[in-house]
Amino acid sequence: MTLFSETASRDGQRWMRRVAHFVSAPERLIALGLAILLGLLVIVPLFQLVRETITVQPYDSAYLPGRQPGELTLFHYERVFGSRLSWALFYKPFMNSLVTAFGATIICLALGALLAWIVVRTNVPYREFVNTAVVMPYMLPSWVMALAWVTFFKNDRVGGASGVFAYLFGVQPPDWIAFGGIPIIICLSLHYYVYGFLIISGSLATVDSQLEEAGAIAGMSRLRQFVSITAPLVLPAVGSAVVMTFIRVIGSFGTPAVLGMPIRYFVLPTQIYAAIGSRNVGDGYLLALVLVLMAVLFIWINQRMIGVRKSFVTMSGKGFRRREIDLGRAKWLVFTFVVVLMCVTVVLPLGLLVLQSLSRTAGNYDLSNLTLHYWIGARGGVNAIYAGVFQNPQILHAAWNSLRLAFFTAIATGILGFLIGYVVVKTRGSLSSRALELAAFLPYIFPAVAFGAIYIGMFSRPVGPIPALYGTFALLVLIAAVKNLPYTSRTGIAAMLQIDKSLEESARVQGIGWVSRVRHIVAPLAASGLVSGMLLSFIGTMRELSLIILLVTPSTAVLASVIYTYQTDDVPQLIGAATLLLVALVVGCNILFRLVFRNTKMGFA
Amino acid sequence: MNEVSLKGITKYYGAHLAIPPLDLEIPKGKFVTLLGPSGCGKTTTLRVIAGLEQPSGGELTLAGKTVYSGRDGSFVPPEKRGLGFIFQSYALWPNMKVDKNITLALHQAKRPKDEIDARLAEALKKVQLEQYGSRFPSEQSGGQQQRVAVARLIAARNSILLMDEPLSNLDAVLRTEMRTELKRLSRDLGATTVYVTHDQVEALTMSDIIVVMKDGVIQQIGSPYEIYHEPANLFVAEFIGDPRINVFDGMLEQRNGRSVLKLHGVEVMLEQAIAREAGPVTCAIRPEHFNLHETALDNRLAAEVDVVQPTGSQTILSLSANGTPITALIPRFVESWPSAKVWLEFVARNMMVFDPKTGKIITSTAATRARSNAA
Repeated sequence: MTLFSETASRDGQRWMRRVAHFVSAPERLIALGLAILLGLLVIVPLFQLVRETITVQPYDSAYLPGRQPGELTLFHYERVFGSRLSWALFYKPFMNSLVTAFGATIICLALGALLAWIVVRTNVPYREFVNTAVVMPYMLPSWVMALAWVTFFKNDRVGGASGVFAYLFGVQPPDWIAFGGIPIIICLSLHYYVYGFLIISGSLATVDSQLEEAGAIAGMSRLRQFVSITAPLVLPAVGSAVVMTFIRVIGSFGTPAVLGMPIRYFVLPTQIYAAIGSRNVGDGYLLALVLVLMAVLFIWINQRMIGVRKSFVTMSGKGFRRREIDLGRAKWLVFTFVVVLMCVTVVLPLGLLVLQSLSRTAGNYDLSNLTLHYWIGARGGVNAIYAGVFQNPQILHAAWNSLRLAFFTAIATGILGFLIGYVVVKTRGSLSSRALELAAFLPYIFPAVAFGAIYIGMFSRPVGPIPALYGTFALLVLIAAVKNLPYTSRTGIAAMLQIDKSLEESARVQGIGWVSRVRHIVAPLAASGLVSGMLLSFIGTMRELSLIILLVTPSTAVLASVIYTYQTDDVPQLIGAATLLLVALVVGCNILFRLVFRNTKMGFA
Repeated sequence: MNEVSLKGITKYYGAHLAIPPLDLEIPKGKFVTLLGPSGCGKTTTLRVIAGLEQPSGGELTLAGKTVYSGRDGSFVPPEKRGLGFIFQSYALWPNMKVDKNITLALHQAKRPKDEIDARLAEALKKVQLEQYGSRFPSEQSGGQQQRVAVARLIAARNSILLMDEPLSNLDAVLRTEMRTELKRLSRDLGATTVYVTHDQVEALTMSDIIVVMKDGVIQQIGSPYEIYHEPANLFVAEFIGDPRINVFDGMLEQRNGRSVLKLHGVEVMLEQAIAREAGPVTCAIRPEHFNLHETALDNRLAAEVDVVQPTGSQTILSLSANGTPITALIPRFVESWPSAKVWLEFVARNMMVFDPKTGKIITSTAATRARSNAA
């Protein structure tokens, strides 16, 4: 008996030591904290989403008399997939989504790959300029293109003034050009090709031309070299470009909202918006779930076919060189193509918006009709209801909100990226490391509108220690930060990986504690990597619409959402001016960031 | 007194046992080298001593203080062990200038400012980098970075120094130079040094004691002389020595109380009898221990000269006897061998005999016996 209690107490002591040891390692504590946080913000929403689709919602009381909200039901599944309403509610938007998403993804990939090849492998003139010009659309919100399209091609099918096309030619453009699937595909493609370009050019740049030359020496033709050597090496990158583009395009809200909703051409994100906007949350969540499942399916297919982890590392330090293909005279043709592309994607849309913002009466583009009212005019001047952007408290407040939101999201990105990167890299190979990486990746599979829809449901009442956040600015920051997590964690991990493990170990051995290790060594070294991630998330959040359109309230409205509401109010001039203000803010902040962080140069290469 | 003491230390990585129970006692003030091929557990052992890896079991004592015990799970983290450590990559913090690199730990320990300044000046002077204090590590050559790492060690004044392949990133000339300096540093500081390397030349030139490891198991502990002349087994014999030791399959015969080795038709009568039954054995002889003759004689092995490689003070001869490659080393400069054939005489006192199954040594050479007698 005494023996037993002795061993028991010793076991207890040991256990206490273990706990003390566990707690003494900061990375484990952080991992625990992050696990709880990510579980709450990423895993719970997924369950929440599924649960809401199988329970009775308050909206359903008219259809399900006598049932209490919260009871289990398959009602939503029946209505969405197998009722008289299903065609309008689900199948048609679903088909539209597939058509626009696949169409846009194919064009994006073709365009992105072609441009990547031009920039990386040919002697196109002014390569640096071309490289910058090609990624310019990324700076603009994705729906700017759509707004410009409407400005140009708007016809009398919908109310309000007609567009530039009708003004110039005196003919109304046909419906299929003005609205619907084709314009949506074109507008999405001309924005989202940038992702394909960035991923494929990055991969193509690491393929050593010597590999192809070895093929040439072995007697392979140019085509054969491309098919058997180059293509397989960049295939994984193409695969991830497809997935990334597809998920972004199918979750995109702004463009189909501008170009589809006026003629009731719905895709899943706009259908979700409409359902949730009319308080029919059960159906809305079910549609969101469909989007999530499609994203998962797409990732899964990509992994089965190509394998995400099968990235080829062919970089071999010395002797790495890139063979440039001489385009001969055609290089000027190619250059012209890029310039035209930039005109279509950047100059023309912005130009149209400038023109639009300056017209006194919408639809009249005559010089005599120009006014600065929608920029600086006060209420009651040219337009009795709407003041110019710089006199309009609603717009100025929204602009301030946009900046605040982007700023806080960038800060959250920096902190979370640092913590996740630190823990994942420090505990590399362990289960917690992999689980954390996976959890941080999860928001990727939620299309933006769907994610917004889930967060409304989750935070309309208190969750654990978190109070009900619906309608607060904090919720916008939270969702933007969480949605950014996949990129955040990637930059964080990359930033941490470039810090040699021995740098921190060396400090440990010398008796330097965790806090000063992080302050003096880890944080300064990770900073430069994290800053670029923060800049990306800042710009991304500034122009974000799909994610937050369901969550904003008048007091938390950001510039993008205000522009969207003006779209429904039909004040094209103000839309033009406000959009240009947003673009100017994004570009200005980008330049400012780069200037500021160029000066804080670290003492290492 | 033993400064570093490992008793039954084990280390698992998941289910993989990297270090089976390991016992090692390191006396105070000695320069001890852990030597072995990559993956033999030498770096893991060093990191266990430093506290950067937590062992799975056993007991570790530093300067009489238990810093890890598998029995009660106590573990002193590396920041409380007060050791000096030089990393293979030097681990200089690239965001700090040289002086900050050297003094950061002292600042964190809240040492008085004039003491820090004095120690910094002394350390920089010792490594001859007085003017380089305000440079970034990236602005220095590999050799200078190495010196900064050494200066950091000097300023910290630890009584136990751990070095993890500190010279492997340097070119050949610098390596020889830094070898001398590290040995001098260890001597001047009077510190107990544990040095990890896979380079046998570093081990032989710098150490008081060499610990040869393989697959986490210590093969032999001994002075450089013992390791070279009395290898405990065939692995040690083959790992130490450049060019490599020659290994032959031979037969042991017992004749009138004398032991005779037969290999390639040559008989070598050993000076002292081996208490072992007649049968197959593995014989080894170092390249420099052959006597070379240019004429045929009984009991000499005829070999064809294949390649002649002069290295300066010595010449390596690659020979072939009945298809078996043999390496011989002669202490003079030879560009080409005058005849196509040489005859090798095996000197009995330089022959090593190993058990062919276990690889353990059966006899040791006469030279070491003489040495141990003298001692």
